[in-house]
Amino acid sequence: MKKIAIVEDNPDNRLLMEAILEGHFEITQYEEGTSALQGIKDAPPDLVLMDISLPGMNGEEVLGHLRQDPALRDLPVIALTAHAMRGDRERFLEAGFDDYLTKPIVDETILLESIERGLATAVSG
Amino acid sequence: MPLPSFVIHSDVLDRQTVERLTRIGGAHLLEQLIDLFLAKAPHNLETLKDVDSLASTEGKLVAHSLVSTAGNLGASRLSQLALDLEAELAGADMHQIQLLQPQVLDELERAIGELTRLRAHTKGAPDEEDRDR
Repeated sequence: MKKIAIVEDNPDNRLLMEAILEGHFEITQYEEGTSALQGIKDAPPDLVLMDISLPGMNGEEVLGHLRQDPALRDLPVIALTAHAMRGDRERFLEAGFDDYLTKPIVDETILLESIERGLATAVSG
Repeated sequence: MPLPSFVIHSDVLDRQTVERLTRIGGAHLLEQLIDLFLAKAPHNLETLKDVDSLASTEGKLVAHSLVSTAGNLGASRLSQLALDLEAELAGADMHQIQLLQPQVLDELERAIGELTRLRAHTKGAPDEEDRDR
């Protein structure tokens, strides 16, 4: 079973994503960026769902550290944000995220399809 | 779990979202999400009622959090108002903030009321797994 790390400070969002993904993937959850960064380095998942607005080290900063690590440079990371401003998609993709999803997650198939694309990209290199 | 009629006809909660949550995780998921929302409700109300608190870092966090926590439960209007408020708080336009504040408060109180009723309805409702046993 593929492993997914969820980095999200809001317990409601973690609960919902876990409910959607359990049974399909092995889930590890982190509530903030610093512990997520260390945890992902220690036990790399197959894909990361990364909230942007984290306390302390935000999602973009965590991504930056991950991309500096040769072992994690190609790890698929999907940005999660409650902001749906024009240009956000381009900004997140330019920052190095593989995809981005807006919260609230109103359709679980969108989440699952984004994950599948991310995992397929990782396999194809 | 059949939805009560007040949810089916509600203009506060989106019926399809509530149905989707029960489909994903049964009544248990719905209960957990409602409990989380209601647990934070007193703090959120207190923060939103006071303009100084609202304009503080905590106020911005409350607005930001409400966008997704309300949206997760189908309180779509509250979610949108919270998004609008978050944008105004970032711009620090006190006039717009003061215009939005009562709208957000009112919608939050309506959502609390409907979710409290829905939570009472889910109490004891069997999950799909329970019915299959």
